[in-house]
Amino acid sequence: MDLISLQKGQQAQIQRIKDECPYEVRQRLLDLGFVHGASIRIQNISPLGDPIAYEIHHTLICLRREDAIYILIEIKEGNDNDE
Amino acid sequence: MMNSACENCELNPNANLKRLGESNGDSRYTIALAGNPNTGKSTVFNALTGLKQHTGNWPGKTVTRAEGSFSYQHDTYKIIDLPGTYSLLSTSEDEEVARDFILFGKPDVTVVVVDASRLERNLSLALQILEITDKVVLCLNLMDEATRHGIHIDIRTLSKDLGIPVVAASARKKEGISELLFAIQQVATETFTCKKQQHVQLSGESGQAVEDLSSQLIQLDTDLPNAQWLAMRLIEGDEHIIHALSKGDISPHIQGTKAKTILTAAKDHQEKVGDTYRTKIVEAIYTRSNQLVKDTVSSDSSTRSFRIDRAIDNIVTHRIWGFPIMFLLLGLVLWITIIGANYPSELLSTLLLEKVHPFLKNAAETLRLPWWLDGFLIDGVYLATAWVIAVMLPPMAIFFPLFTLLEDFGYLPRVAFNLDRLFKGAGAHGKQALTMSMGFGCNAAGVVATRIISSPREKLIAIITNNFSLCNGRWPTQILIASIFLGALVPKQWAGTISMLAVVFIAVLGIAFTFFTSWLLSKTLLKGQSSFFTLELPPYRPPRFFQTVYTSLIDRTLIVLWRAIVFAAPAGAVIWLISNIAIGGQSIAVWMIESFDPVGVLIGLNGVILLAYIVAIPANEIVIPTILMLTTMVLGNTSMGHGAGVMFEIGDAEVATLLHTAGWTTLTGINLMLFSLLHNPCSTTIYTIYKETGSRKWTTIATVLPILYGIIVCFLVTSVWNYFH
Repeated sequence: MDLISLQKGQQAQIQRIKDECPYEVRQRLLDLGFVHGASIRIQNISPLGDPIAYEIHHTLICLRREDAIYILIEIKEGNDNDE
Repeated sequence: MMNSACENCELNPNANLKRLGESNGDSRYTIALAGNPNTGKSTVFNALTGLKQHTGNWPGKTVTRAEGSFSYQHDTYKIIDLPGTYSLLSTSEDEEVARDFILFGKPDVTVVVVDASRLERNLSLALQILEITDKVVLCLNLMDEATRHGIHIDIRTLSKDLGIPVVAASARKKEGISELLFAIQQVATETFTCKKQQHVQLSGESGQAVEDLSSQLIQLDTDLPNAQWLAMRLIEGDEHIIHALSKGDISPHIQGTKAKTILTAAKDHQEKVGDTYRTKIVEAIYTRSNQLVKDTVSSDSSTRSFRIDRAIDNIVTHRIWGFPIMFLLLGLVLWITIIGANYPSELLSTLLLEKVHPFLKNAAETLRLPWWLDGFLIDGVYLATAWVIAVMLPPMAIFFPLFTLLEDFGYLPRVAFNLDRLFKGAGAHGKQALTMSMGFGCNAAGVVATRIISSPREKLIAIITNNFSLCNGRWPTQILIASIFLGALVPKQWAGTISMLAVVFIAVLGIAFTFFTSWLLSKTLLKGQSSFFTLELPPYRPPRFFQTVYTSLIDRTLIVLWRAIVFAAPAGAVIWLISNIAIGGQSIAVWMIESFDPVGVLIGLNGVILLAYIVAIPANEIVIPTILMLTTMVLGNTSMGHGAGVMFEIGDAEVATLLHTAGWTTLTGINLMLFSLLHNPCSTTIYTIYKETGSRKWTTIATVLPILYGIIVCFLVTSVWNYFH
């Protein structure tokens, strides 16, 4: 599944970036630490639903939906303790 | 600088530090300062050099690279603050500047500033730099914040694992600076020999490819410090590095046919390793960085959770409360500015216009200056300049510090986060939310702020549309005209509310024009895919009140004020001259007013307003006084004002009487409010746009487009109005 299917409160691990991801976007995502094995969760959703702020490597990175779609993830477990 | 006993005491390690600011003498060593955005690099730079680079809690502050010097224990060091980057693997302009300097500038020491509480991602950059050079000092900055979050870092182990000096610092509090200096000196003088402990390990085919190519490079030049890194870049097909290698810039031993052999080998490898090569490199870097963090960082997971930050974020980006809070905060800043500026503005204008001006006039009379020289200098140049200072300084001195406090605290990136969806719809960047808000203070400052937008297309959109944010200079005009012409239409108890709503409507209309124009530009002149959007939300940081006030006064207020004065003085001269030089028994001003009048009336304005907007281009603040002066001149009213070419101010009731006498109607008032929003930017802003874009074409577009809007909108309103009357 991809990152946009992640729900708030879920914890996931990044699998990889999809092959159809444009080169520049892939570069930028990698630079920000969107690499295999990195833990990721949703921290905040913008009032208008997009973009979404993800916590990754203890930083908050906001991605638009159109870019988040390129990231494949695997859900780890439910984690609702910060709501 | 104070020369207290403590500062010179030998026990004080900082006694050996002499901050030399920008001084450009011969320096013995060159230091490069690198790091992720928003890690306090500029703060470290300022602490070392004594300079005051603007720092803000916003990634991407240092755009052009800054240089400074300091001397430490008899040696002089030059230090270069490189742009903050997340990596050195990509090809953005910032990253190329940073990478080229480290690679070709061969600094004696590269200080990598990292955020201690975000070590994992920050280390990935440090590891990349370590691939290029061994001579690195790692500065763990923001240690105070990390400690607050319950993070403990085993500095000695980290230093041993990396093979370089690691220094803990809190540059904001000036902690750790002397240790940093000591480490820099040790590396520069090679007292400490940096020994890279381990290269980034690539596995499988990619690993073999890199190993093969780097051993080929080493064979050609055994002194090459970064063969593995070069091999990685060459296999990736980095044009820049390929070019540098074939020119012999990388190594004098590798050029010509030798370089060709290497490049052919690199190309072969590139085909074999395929598309996932780059991903593998970054994964390898993160694996290593992960391991380092695991070995050296322990954190108390309960405090680690940044609870306060999360709580604030949950409120300010809340689905329902996010927007009201945003409008409330920005509205509050504007309100404090407008209300708070009244008193000091009055004080200044009493002083400069009612005390100093007559004093200068008297002095001129005593000195028997000819009337034209006295008029030109004192009524023209002095008055316009004094006027601009009196009305411009107080609101800016209030707005900029308040705004900078919000910026330092970390709130503004959240505004960008909240509004990005709307900007995306218009083909623009979310960070334009910040530059737009800044424009409400001053459009020139808003244009400068667009530097935080990294993609050129979106940056241009932000620059061209900034003028639609109703700046400080225009609020007083709006308020005055609204209360005279709109407040007067309703019963007294509603007058205040109605005029306030009218002004807010104009400001909101400006925002609508911002979005409309952004959309229009992104569909026409600035067509293109909206580029990849990333925004990092920095942690909240308690703002440092006094420093913020100080730097925002220096960096923003005074610079903008100075530019305004430079343009205001000649404009004052022009205003006086056209009012006093007569051709055929009539002053130039009156001739111009008469010739503009037909056009003016067509768009529901008049010749006086159009002329006032032309001559008052330096500052929107002097539009009203100019209009008043020109109106009395046209009416031949000698009971008001101080003569031709002398700007003046009177009470609201008198303004109302004067303008009504001159034939102004409600329509004139409404159109003046619209035209005040939709006309060319002031000369300070135009000049700033030119400086930022370096392009006449875009400067012209940014100047002419709003006037076109103004003419069209005023014409439409007038036509509709006349149809119903």
